[in-house]
Amino acid sequence: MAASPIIDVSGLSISFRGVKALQDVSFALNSGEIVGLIGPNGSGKTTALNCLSGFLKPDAGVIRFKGEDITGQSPAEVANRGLMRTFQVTKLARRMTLIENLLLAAQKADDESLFATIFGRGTFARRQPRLLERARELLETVKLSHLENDYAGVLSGGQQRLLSIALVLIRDPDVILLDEPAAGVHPDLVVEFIAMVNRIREERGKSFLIIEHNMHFISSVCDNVVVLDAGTNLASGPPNVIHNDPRVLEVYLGTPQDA
Amino acid sequence: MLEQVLLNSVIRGSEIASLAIGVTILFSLLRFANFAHGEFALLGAYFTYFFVSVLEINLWIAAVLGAVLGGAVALSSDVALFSRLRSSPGIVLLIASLGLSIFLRAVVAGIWGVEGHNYSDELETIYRIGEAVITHTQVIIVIVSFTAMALFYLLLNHTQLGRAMRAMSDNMALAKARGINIEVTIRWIWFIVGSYAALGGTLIAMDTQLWPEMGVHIILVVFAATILGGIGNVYGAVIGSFLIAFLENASLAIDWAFLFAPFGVEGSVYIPTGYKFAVSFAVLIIVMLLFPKGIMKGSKGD
Amino acid sequence: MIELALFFSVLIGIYAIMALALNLQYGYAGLLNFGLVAFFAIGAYASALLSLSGVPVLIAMAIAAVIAAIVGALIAIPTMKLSVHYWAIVTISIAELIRVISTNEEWLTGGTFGLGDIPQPLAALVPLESYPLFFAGFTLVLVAACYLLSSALVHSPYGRVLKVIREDEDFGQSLGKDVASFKLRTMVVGAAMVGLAGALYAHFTTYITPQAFEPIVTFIIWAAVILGGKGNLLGSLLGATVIVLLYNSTRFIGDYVELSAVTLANIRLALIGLLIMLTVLLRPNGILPERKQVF
Repeated sequence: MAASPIIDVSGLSISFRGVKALQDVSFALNSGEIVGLIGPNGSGKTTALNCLSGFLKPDAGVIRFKGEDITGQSPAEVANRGLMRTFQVTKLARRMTLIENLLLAAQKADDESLFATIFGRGTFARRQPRLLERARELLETVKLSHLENDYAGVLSGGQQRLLSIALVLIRDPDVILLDEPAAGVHPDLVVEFIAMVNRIREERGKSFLIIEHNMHFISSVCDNVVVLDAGTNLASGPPNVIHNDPRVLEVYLGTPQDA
Repeated sequence: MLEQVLLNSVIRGSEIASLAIGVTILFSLLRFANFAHGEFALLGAYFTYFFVSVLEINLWIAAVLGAVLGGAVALSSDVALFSRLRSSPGIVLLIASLGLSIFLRAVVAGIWGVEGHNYSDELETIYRIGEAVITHTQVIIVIVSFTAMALFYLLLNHTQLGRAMRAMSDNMALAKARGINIEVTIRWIWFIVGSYAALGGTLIAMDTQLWPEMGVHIILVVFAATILGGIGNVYGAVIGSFLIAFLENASLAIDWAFLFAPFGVEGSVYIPTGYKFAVSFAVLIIVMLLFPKGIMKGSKGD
Repeated sequence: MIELALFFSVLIGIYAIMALALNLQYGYAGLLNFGLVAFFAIGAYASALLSLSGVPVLIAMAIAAVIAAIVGALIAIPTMKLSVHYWAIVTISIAELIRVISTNEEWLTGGTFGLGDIPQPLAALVPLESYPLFFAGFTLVLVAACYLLSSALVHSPYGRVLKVIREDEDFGQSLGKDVASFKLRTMVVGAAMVGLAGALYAHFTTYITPQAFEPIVTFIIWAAVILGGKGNLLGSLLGATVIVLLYNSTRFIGDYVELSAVTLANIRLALIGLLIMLTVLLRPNGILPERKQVF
């Protein structure tokens, strides 16, 4: 096996109404690796993640996933290839129960066609128990089993983040993009999050790209850190090296931290 | 030919703009397309008609009174309906505004009937500008409307209310943090945009005639102008209004023969008069498909 | 009296089919289709014209539903990326455009005079005196079929994708759902159902004019879905029943109070508007709110 990275971003650039949000940004993520994407507010982290997940089309640059060029593909296509994400402000189907959310995530496109819905109802009915079982397993993992038939809208912010990770996991992607998983989450839950991410990597061999302001989170899980500043690459390296990089300290760590 | 098209576009555009200003502000602040805005115009026009025909008040005083009453209706609709839905999603407000629009139109038609009315039967003085003609009333419509827009500009830029409005449309949370009284400002906004719509309604009725469907016919055009100008951008809405008016008038004046010549159609091809109303709808659909984000920067264009 | 009951049951059935279609589109998928009446008109004119030119009525009705579905797809494809508010505005404009066309293209639609002598389904086989009963039964069968279809659609993986369109499109996309294609399919299914309702209407009244396709038809269906309960199919049947009866009961006010036809028509309209506002304010989830699916 050649050690080519599972995600390879090169020369990513995008601008909004003339304002350059990303300029020639490049980074890579190896299979099984956890990489942190950090930088001050407005440095382009979420924009980069939106490009990776297909929600934004970059003006220039190439995004390769598992060796294939996925630049400009739709979010659904990217997700179906095995590159999935969560959102900074958690997105869920609020008026669907936790189980329904998980079934929605898990069900296969074949079962969603109009034809299958009208003429092939038996097929999904046979598959459903298996999916339900998986959904319940994952709810167990994120410790939300007791709420399985509640609407997702009633969950607390932290619980919503947990569910969103379960929703991603049930589709068994290769790479998971997390956008500020610890923001607004109770410190106890952050500890649990860190343990969970490490466990998912160990048990399932998933790779992660994580945007996070919480430096404790970053140094506890990340193998490597990529630092962006004003839409450009500033530095990259292992967390302990980045921690002491004077350029990073100046733009990022030097500024007061609340996290 | 071109002169007449331009002249008609200025007249029509200034009518549309008096509504588009309000629609764009409501959209940027309350996150919904207000279908009832056309009925604020309708009511304004009929209030004016009431003052003119029943109380025999001078048309211009009547128009001002109509505008004030139109503003009062808009304000009451906020008190009775929209303010109770502040935490609801935009879709719900939109549906509520649709209900209000149906209701108000039915009330107007029930009181004044479905047939058309005019403010006066007098023959118009007509001016010629080159090849083009314009009536005395139309000149006044343009003057009134431009004055109103200038006043709005002053309001937006040189009053505390205007500053509050802009701050809220930029960032509601920040505006609240800076101590702006959101609810009071929203009430003022309803009154002001309601009276502008009502004045617009009177101007439209002066140019054409009063009839209960005028609100429905103008509102879709107003939406088109608002979207073209970038949602939440007041200047964009004004520019959008004149552009839409121009597109409407130009498409009616153009000889479309060149499109049909390849199919062996001979002679001139104009849009038939039966399709005159449809032109606005067609323009709207085309604008939506080609410029879904508008041509100018909107505040939070959907 | 029985005649009247049968008349209203057909009318309710026609609106119930359209309410089911709108509930799929709005109640489940969150799509603001303000142009429903366009598909109603297309279904009515298509079926009327086909049957007038000799196509058997039942086949004409089926083709009419297909034509409405195709128009639905043609409208949906270029507009699907628009936000819900814009979509509401575009669909209402398209419906108005179609009405203007039906008024103007006399060679096709008979213009404002409309189309008359539209044949009725299986008229030769059913005795004249029991025909109203037959037609009511025929309508009931179609309503039942549409209800079962809608129910199959919403209680399925497809139905869950519909709901995610309503809840959060980006979220659906992030789970790998091709949201635009689901909107398209929902638009097509709904358009076919409304087209069928239009066909039924044409063969029921045997005479159609552009006045039957004013925007108010769309708003009545909206009132029915909102009042009945969005996201609840039984609610749509209930809503259609209540609204149709309410809307038509005002006709009888005229028996007691001296009112002109215009005034009565406007009282009816005002009632629909008022009902929409009151429901939104007082019972936003309708009489029969959406039920939670429990596993």
